[in-house]
Amino acid sequence: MTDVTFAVSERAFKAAFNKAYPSLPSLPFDGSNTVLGLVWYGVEGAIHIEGAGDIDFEDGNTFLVSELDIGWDKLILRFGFDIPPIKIGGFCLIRMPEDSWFFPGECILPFPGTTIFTGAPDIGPITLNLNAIIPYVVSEVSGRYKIGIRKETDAISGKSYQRIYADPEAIDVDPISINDTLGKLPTIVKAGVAVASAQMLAFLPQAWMVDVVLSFLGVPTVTAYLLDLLDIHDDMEEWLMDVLNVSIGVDNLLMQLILDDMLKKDAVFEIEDPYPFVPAGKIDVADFGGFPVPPATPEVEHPAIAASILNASAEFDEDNMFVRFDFGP
Amino acid sequence: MADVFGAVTDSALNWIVDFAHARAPFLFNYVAPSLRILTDANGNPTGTQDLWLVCAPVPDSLLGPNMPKYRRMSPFGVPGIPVKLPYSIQIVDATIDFYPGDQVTLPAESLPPLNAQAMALKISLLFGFPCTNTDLVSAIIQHQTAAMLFAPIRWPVLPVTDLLCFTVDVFATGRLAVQSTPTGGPYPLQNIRLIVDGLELVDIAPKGLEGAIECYLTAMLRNYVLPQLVLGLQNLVISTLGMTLTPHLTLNLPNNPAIEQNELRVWLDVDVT
Repeated sequence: MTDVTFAVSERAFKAAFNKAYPSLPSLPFDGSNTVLGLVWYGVEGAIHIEGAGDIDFEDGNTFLVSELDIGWDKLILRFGFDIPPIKIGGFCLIRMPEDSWFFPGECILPFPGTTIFTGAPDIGPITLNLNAIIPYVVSEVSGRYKIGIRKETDAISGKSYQRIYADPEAIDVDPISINDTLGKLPTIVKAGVAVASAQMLAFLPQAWMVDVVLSFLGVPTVTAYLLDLLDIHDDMEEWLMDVLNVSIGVDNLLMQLILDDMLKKDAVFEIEDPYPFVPAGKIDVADFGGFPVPPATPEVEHPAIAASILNASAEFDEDNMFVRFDFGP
Repeated sequence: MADVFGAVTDSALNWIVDFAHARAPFLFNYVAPSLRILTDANGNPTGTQDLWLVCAPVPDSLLGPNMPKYRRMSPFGVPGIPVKLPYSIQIVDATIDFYPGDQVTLPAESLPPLNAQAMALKISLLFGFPCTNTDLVSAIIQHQTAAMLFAPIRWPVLPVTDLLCFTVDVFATGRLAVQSTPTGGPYPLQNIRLIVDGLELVDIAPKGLEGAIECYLTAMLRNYVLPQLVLGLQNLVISTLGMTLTPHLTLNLPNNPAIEQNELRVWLDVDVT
């Protein structure tokens, strides 16, 4: 029989977990991807871990967080276009008539030719601030954690503790879904495409060249061209979910983000080791006697009476987490 | 089901008592010191110094020079003796035994074995009192009478060099109970009390003296020692949670706190919002 036994219910454990593991300030992330060599997508966001919605103890030393609640603080989609360079060859704008006495047949105003869309990306990045639809972004995260107890020394206080950690073994982030009930998304996307159109037109040094370039691209308008590149059709929600989940792989970004953050977290529980039965304190010398060496001051500081914690263990059994340990010199 | 459960064995508590005994002896040795008279080269008194007399020698603390051995007590007075008397009370052994009893052999007066949910406590107290040498007392009276004519000097305590010692073994049996007082809130105010079922002093006579000492010891155990033990366990549980929560004993359990299977057990609920 061990000297001391604690048992903590799932409810109390969840309260302790939700005190130790929420992340504030929020966790920023940044990711980008290139699709088909033409469209470049990036995402800039920030989330915070709000806590466990539901915790289930498993036998042994693992537990399952079936609903890890996260909140979105920022969501900005970036996109750009890496359009293949278009070379417009040189030609003569004004050529002298063959029968002219002056430089007959010669080109007196040549167009030297140019190559456009040589940047990477050529257009953008255009930012779509999606903060307005954050309330409609649904993220379902779950994870399996392993409980572990280890002795550590606090760098600031210098005290040692037996600390019980919940180390994530696996985090699973479902593809995020968007339920834009207020229909804000189409306006946001259209505004972004309009900005992209303006940027594309800015690349063309002469207004008359728009038609030339569009004829090269085989589309009637710049906007139509960009919408086609972005593969945007009627369903904006579906398009955005596809971009975030498939093109960018935001679920993997979030998984790594949450995993990294949780590995850095404080302990869920901690027990001071050595455990002080009588804390250190000052005593008035006049009230005591029998000092091995007579004190030179009216007050002296006596050390704590503390015993080491031995054989510490933490494990789950049915609906409780059991922590057991012995005392020793 | 309770949110938190904590249990500590009687063996662990007894180990802690022994551990503390070797490191904080002042928690176990209560002394009203006598006086050592300091003299000059010609034998004339020059002053006094505390003389810490005890019946059993106390080793130095394992924790170093700042740990004293004795807690100072006030000397007591006796009519007819113009100075106070030194004494010492030493707890030389203390053993706690939770149901089922297997650490303390109770005397027949305590009606062994232990009942369910009961605990036993054995404390060996070593008392030391001075013998008031009649000649010494007379000398002090004469000295103080003479001194009062010239200077207001009085001996604060009888200067002796040894004590008359005797041991008293105290056996107590009891159980824990919770007194709940409605507060108007969701949870009542809960006070943990010790109900002392029996307290026996071995080999003390007359009965009146035994009864009086039993009264003092019962009050001490009931009001201080054992409630502190339960609260200590409660605090251990909560401090380990590392949370600022308001715990309260889980209601509707047959025994909470409980004394069973050699453990003191506490079930707590915490307010989690």
